[in-house]
Amino acid sequence: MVRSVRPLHGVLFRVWLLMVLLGVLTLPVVAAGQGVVPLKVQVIYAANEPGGVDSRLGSLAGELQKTFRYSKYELLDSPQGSAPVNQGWRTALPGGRSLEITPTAIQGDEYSLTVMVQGPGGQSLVNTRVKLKAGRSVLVGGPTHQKGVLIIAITAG
Amino acid sequence: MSTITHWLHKTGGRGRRLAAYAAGELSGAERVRTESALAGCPGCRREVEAYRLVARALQATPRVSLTAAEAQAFWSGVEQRIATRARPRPLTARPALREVFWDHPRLSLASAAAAAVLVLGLTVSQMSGWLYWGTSLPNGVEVLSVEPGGDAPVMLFQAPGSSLKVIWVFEERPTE
Repeated sequence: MVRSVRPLHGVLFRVWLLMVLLGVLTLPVVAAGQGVVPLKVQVIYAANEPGGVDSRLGSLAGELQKTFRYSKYELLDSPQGSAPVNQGWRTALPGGRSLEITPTAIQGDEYSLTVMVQGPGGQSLVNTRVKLKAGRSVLVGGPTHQKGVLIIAITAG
Repeated sequence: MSTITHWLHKTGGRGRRLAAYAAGELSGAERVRTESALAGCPGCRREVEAYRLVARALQATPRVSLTAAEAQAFWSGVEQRIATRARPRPLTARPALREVFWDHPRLSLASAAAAAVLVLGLTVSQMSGWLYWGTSLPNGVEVLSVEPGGDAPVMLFQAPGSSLKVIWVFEERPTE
């Protein structure tokens, strides 16, 4: 009785192995993602001095005011670019600093990025890994600038 | 009423004193005071009687003593029993996984079905890469790791009421 169904088992076993192998093999291919990630950076100077909120900040201004207690928010620069997965995109920041963003994965409208801010001497100030939905921003703030600080808004997609 | 009085005595810590009284360990003044309390508390009297019974029973119980030979036999018996229980149970022979599949057709079918569900699940989950079916990020932003570069400490925070996640570097202001 058992022997009569063994050929069927052999087939099933091979199908099972094949399906698991296919699933495992397709994972990294999909996870790696194909394509280029559009990147947008807003470099903001925040300080407690007269000046108000820069109208060019748009909807980000309200969020900044909810998050911080500075009286002045000025958009210094808004570089834009794009980078393929696992290739870095670099832009200059005030004070001889630099920002390097490397997309590491794309999954639908979610982007995994490695973000590194470097000081004037090339030393790393912060190195972070983030996952952003398209259009959403993460902020890196704190580097000093003039009488205030820099706040860098990073948006992907 | 007497039950309530007795309960009050017990909760007030009189039980120990009654036990000491029953054992004849109270001094003169305390003994007199306890006897006057017993006069108005039948429950306490019963308790004293119970203590006395226990004390008498303990005094009447003969002490167990072992000869050297009995003690030796006793310990060797204990050690033997410990050794017997500590011995690992023999392992039963288990069939190999492949044999289980071969000899149980239903299990084999079930595993094949499970594999199919697994592959289907993986495929569907990966399809969100091509077709947007929602996001796993509650706020649209997830900070996976933050490493400070040098001496400047780094903090991750999100202000209440704001959707912004902030990685803040506490960089020292250069001296002028």
